[in-house]
Amino acid sequence: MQLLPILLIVFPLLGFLLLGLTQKLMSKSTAGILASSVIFINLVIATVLFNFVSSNNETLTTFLFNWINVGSLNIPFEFVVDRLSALMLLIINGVGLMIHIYSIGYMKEDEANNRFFSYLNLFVFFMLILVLSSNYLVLFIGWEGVGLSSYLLIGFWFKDHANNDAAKKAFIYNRIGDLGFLIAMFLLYTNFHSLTISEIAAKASTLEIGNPTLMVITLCLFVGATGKSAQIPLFTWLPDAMAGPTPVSALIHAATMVTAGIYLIARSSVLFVLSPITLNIILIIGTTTAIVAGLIAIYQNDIKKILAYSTVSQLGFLFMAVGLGSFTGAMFHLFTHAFFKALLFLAAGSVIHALNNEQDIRKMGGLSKKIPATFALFVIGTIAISGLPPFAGFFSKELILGVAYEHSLTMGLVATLVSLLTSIYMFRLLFVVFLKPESDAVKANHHVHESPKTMLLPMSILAFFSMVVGFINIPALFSENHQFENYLAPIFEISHKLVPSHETIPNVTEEWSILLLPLLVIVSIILFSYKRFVNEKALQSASGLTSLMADKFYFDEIYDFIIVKPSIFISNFFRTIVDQTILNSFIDSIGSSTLLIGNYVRRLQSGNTGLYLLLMVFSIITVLFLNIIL
Amino acid sequence: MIIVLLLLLPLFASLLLFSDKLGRRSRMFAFVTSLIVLVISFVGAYFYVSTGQKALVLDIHALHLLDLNISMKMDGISLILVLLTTILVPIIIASPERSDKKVSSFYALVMLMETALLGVFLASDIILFYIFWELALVPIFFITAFWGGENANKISLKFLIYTVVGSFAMLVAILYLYTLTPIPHSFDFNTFLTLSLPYAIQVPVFLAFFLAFAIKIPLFPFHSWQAETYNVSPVQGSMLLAGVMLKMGLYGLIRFILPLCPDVVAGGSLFFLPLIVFGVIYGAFIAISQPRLKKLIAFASLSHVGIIALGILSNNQYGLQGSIIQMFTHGINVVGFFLCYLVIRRRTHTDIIANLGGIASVAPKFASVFLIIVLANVSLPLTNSFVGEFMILLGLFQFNPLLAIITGTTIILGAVYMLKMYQKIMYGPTNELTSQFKDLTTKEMILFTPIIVLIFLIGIYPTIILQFLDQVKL
Repeated sequence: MQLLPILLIVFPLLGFLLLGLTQKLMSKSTAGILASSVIFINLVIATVLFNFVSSNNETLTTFLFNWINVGSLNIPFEFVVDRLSALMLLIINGVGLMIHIYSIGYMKEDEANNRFFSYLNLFVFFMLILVLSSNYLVLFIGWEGVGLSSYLLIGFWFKDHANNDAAKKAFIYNRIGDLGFLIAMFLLYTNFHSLTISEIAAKASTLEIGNPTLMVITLCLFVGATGKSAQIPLFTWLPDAMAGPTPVSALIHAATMVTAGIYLIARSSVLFVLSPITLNIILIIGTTTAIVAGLIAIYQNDIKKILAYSTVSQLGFLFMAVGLGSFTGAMFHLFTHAFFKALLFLAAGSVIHALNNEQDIRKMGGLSKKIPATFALFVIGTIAISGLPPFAGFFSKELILGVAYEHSLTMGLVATLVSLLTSIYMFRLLFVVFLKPESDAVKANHHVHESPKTMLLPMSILAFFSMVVGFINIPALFSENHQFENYLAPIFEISHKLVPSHETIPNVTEEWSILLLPLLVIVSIILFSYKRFVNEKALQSASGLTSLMADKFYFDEIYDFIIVKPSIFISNFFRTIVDQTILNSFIDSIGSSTLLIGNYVRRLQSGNTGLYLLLMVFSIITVLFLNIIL
Repeated sequence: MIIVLLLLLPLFASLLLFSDKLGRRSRMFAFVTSLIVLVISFVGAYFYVSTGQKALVLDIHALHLLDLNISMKMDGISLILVLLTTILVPIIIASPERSDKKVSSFYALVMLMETALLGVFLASDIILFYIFWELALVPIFFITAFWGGENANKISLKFLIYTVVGSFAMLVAILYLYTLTPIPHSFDFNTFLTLSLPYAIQVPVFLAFFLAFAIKIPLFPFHSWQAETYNVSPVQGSMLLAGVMLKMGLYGLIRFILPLCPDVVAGGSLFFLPLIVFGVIYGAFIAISQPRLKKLIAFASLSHVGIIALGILSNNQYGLQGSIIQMFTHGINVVGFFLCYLVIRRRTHTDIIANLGGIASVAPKFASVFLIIVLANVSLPLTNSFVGEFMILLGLFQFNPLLAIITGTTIILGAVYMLKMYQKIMYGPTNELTSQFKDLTTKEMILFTPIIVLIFLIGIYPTIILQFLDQVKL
């Protein structure tokens, strides 16, 4: 049993090395199958581990070796499998396997197919280190490592500089967050003399609520989370990250890596519950992000960008849940979201594949008849993410909405609004792509084709889970079945003991209002957007406030103006003015003034004995004179 | 015995090469000698670890008349830098040469350089230290002046004068300290370390040593020789300079400034640390808009060594130990970086970043190797520079959090200039310069192998270096 977590990371690493080192030698299909079987084995191991930790309340600790061990600084390479990491293991390997299989079909035309699979395996390797680590520094290895894999995969088609720019942007934005994470670790080590997560939690649980050090630490950790999980102000890299192949967007930029921020906070829940100010800031940032990204999503025309903003919005929703103190709610929505968002991305990939890499939804329409299977799967994903019963999104959103209403009516209404935005942009997307009359581009394209089975099968499996996975945590109104909450209860036990949470069961009237209000609105939104978007003329130019949303609130332009441009200016200023002109000429002038002085001094050596005598006498007089006064 | 061999072998090799009898085989001869020296240093490391001694010591009272000792000592810190030198010199010799003129003298100078560098790191007597310190200048001056590019004479002279000015200040301080030692006066390190100077004396001593070391490292604003010298020097010269020689300055900080001026260091956060921090940021910013690869390496290096100096002067155990690891890894990484430069330069005859592009699509092996070296330079975890940088920043944070946070921004700036450079050179469409770019030859792969291995070995199992630092205490 101890060995299993090691095997978990060894297999993807071997897969990466094998694929990376033998790129040209291996056939494309072998590479895909090899990479997928690695993840399949991992999924089996993950299932075993999951069964182990869910059947008894033990945690499994595996020690490899001491990574850093000098003086009192001791950072072991140590893995912990508990209920939280086991859940993440299932998501990463489960969704990961589907996406690997899908990629066999999706990437088979690509000449760098093998490089693609090696990077995917590398990503899984780092993601597993991230969720398995017992301490923050080793977690940070995974944290930066997934950033690297993300960089490599966004810029996978590196001949086009647009992709490279997107990749670089993602890496740098993540690095900004990483600095926050690093500072948090310095503070943690300075205050707790340890970086082991469980030790810190134990030590911190004795501190009082509102401890200022904890507040700073949690804020720094949250800065790290905003980078990785694309929250305001660091979210703009994620929509650009869609430059990567679609399976990558599904795996890294929707289901797994971007949820690392949530995972980090859930892991450190003890620190966060003791810092109410931080939680409030998270609440504000999360809610704002959810609303802003949701609004932007409504006015985008690139199918992947819409889904990307949707991801940002959903992540904001998760942070909102965390800010409300509902770690379980956040983890549950993270879990369900992984399935339906991966499904939606893969379905979008199937659309793009069918239309020969067309991503503009204005050039789509009427696809329901041409690619019916993809359509059906997309419908399932849309229903699930919009929170319509009985699909998964309904259950997880309901849990969070319940907490929000418990917090205050205003918060509840805001949360409801956020979840309604989802159904607006998702149904707009669905209707425009599939039900609107065919656009000219589609009419002209005679090669619209359904995707192969290797792509449809994993999508169907994800669709199946998107439909049923919600039933593991049924609203209190209907049943006493809270498997998910019970499963995670031991993880957040200490946190909930320290600060009683809102994660209590609301009463029946409230529950009905939470359930019915959004449902009614969602149904009307569907009807409204059906009328509006299926109508041919509806996708014309935006004006006024809507153009602000269509232009993404000018975040990128603002950053360009206040950060990028000044940095380039400073760089050029330092290089040309300070370094080349001022410093260099200063040094050179020292050199040349030496020469100059030398020139003058040389003239004294004229060979004129009289002058020498005169100088000598003067010098003696001066010395004597100085002797007298000193 | 080990120490004698380490010093004399390259010295004799150098003399033999100067005699110019080996002709075309001189490169091979130098290479083999440097490999033997490498093996000897490994044996030394083995003795050090296995016997559990604090240090390997050599004492020769050869110059009894002058009451001077030839006293050499190899403790943990020395050992790490000796290993760095002996590992890098064979790589530097084996890296393809640019010109054929006076081959034998060139390698004679490289071997002489090795002797001088090892002498600096092994000396346990301050006059000996000073002699080797100055001796190291001679070969690098000639290498730059004779085998360098345009304006090499002028620039190498500037470099020489610049560093000699610093050394002179150090010499004055050394002589002054000598007069303070108890009678009979002695230049032995240990005697110096017992001095415990009052604060009023520590300040001028600090300033004198600091000037010498700051020029050598170099630290802002004493760096203006660096970029130009790197630029005109033949690549092997730049590698020697950046890979090993500038560690002399950092080594000096550890050996002299820390024990002699502890009070100045303890209160230093308001005087010199902000200046160094500024230099770190300054170098990183300049690297962002630097149009030439070789100068970019110079400014990136300015930023990196500034961080190392911060760690040493952070008055903190972690900072110091992190710095020592980082001295080693920086040497490895910067030489790897220069090797990549060399590969590009030899194939395209340019290092103007904007003129390159698309190399990754024609040379995948080189793309991977270069990427690994770039990642090591941005201190990604599991590459060698992460552990050191983390410890330095941790130490600095405990000394002064604000400075640590400002310094920490280089992890962002570093990613900016490194990825920008890598993207411009390796990605995008190919052009007429790069479309025929040949991938790495087997020989080049072999040359890169030790660097790649060390990047991951130290990144994954840093204990291999850290074990030598158990006794390094502040």
